Amino acid sequence: MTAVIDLRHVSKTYGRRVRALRGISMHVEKGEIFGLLGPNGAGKSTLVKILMTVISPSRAEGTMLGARIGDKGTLAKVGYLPEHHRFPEYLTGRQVIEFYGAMAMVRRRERKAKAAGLLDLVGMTDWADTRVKGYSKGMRQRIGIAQALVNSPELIVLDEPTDGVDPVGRRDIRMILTRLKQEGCTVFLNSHLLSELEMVCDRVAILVQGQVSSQGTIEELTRDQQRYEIEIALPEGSAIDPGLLLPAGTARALEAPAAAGITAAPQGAAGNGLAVFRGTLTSGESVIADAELIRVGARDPGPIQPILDGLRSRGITIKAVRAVRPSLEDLFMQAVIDPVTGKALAPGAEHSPKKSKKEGG
Amino acid sequence: MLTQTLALLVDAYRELNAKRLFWIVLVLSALIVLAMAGIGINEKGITILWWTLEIPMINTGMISKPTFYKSFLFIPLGFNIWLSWAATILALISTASIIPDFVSSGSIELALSRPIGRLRLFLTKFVTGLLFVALQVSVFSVGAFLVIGIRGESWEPKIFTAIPLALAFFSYLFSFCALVGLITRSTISSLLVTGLLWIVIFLVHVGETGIVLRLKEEQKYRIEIAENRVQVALPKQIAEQEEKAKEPPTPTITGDSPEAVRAKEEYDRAKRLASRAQERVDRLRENLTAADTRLKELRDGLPKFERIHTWFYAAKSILPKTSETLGLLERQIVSISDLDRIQDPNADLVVDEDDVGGRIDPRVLGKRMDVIIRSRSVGWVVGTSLAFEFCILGIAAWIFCGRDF
Repeated sequence: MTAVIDLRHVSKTYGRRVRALRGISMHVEKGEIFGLLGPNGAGKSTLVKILMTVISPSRAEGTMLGARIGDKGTLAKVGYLPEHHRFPEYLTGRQVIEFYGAMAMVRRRERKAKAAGLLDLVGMTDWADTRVKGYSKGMRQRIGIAQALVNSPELIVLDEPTDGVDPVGRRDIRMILTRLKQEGCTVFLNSHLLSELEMVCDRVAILVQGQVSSQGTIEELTRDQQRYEIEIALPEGSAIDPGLLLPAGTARALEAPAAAGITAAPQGAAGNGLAVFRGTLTSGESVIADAELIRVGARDPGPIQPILDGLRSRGITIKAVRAVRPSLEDLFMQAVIDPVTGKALAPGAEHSPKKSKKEGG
Repeated sequence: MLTQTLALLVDAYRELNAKRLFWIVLVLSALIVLAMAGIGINEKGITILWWTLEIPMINTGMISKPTFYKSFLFIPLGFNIWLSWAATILALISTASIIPDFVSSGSIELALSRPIGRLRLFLTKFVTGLLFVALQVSVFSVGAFLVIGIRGESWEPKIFTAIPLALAFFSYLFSFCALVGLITRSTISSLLVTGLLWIVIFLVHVGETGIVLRLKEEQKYRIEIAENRVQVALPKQIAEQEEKAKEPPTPTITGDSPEAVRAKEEYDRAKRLASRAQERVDRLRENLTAADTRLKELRDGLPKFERIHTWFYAAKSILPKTSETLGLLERQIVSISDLDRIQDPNADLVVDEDDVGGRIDPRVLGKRMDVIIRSRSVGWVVGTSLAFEFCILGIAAWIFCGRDF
């Protein structure tokens, strides 16, 4: 596949201390919808603005649509909807589309024809000749998407496109994005709405404190965290050490036994006397069990078959078995939580500490 | 390239079209033109619509119709007051927001993310900001052309030089307004700071032309008068009086005869006259000494005025010359011969022989000032002002091209 955006070592430092981006490398393929995630101040908008020449990078290697980053001519083939955009309020929706079409070097006749089609596409035909001043936020967003498409872009960069848009509007925007993808357009999407991104994105990158924390397809990013959940129901009035739910010899506990007063079953894995059993299967997969749910970290259903057999043979009711894949939100939260402290990483760009006079220049 | 420039121009027009102030100023311009068309001059005095105000000093016997419309109505009232003050203030109020709005968050991203260089984008946006004044002055100039042509019976196509001159005048201020707007991103700040610059320009102009140049010319004028007294008028008077003060010849006839008595009386009278003449000579010599001292004082005082004037002139050379730029219009359409008051400044030079200080005639001084101001080249007036504008625009463009928005 051809890279539409190929970024390497993109850095941006404001002044001497604020390092907004720290060596971003990113790859966006032609025809895909690429999502950029990150907490506030992670550097998402800075990165987008560097692509759109609104901000100059401290360092940037790579290309966009085959031209170096910062090449103005390339922007004729790019559509852009900035976050918190402000269109001239004295223009009508149609005039906005035509004006930005002209600024993108689209010929008059073509942009007039395109404007009509795009107004129809974003559902704004009835409001086409009303001034932007009278538009709701969602209507402005629709016009914003239309103006970003007026130059038939090969790449469209959308910064929070569903911001302020109602659920119907969001669905419409998703449909537009899917249609653009089908037409071969590459979409670079920056959004806080993880569920929106999850629905449409082929690949995502998570930006945390100016660095790419992880990047790939959602499938790739979640592969290692797929699991199976077995929901069970114990006979009424009975209690059991969760570790003993697992057939004997299939699992070993990770935690030391403790006197928890839980009744142990005569057969089963070595219980550890806790309300929650944490261990690993003999085949290597992690397992967590409590009185209602057994979770097995496995990509395929093979490892759970012996567990199911054991439960059935002991007359335990299996209410449900489901394959669970972590959501984008789970991924996001993992990325923004400090693994050492367990707390959310501080928002914003990295600030280099001021050097004291004692430390010298 | 043309597509983008045209789009920015059309956008600027739409922005103006949406502003109530633009239409208010346009309507006011039209009303002023109509009001001036309603004023006329005939052999009795001034006419307002169908009424005549009989004014002895202002009638077609004293002032020609074209001169009345050009020099009494359109130049001083229409262009020098309405366009250069009132309409310019309204234009600044109306356009001060252009650059701050343009560089505001959410708007600038949309503009910069297009295939257009930052320098061209900024300069085009700046030029579109001049559209307000271009349209206003064009409408006013067409009106003035028609009124002077129809009512004043003189077709003056040179009146249209008001368009580039007013544009240049406004662009000096707007370039500064754009720079401040770019730095502060605030319409109010850009308006206030530009107003402050305008006041500084005005004060320097008043200081240079209205005070220091006037004082310098007054000093020169006084020196000329004093020189005339010391070198010409007083020596001439002294010589005349010395001639009169010569001892009269002694009468040849003596005795008591009536002829001898008459001759004696003639001699005594001539002697008295000679004596008085001698007194006058003495007084004139004292005056000459005093005038010479005064001349030296005046000559000694001139370098001080010249030095102060040089400072003001230097400051003025750096700053844009707003008043002089619009003043070029008067130079274009009102010649020196059109203005009775602009004649040979020495023609009415008045020398009061008894005035040691040299009394000056304000009309003569006014004529001399007019001649000096008119002698300043277009290159100096417009060239140095445009140099200021280019410097300011250069700084603004440099900031715009290098800034992260």
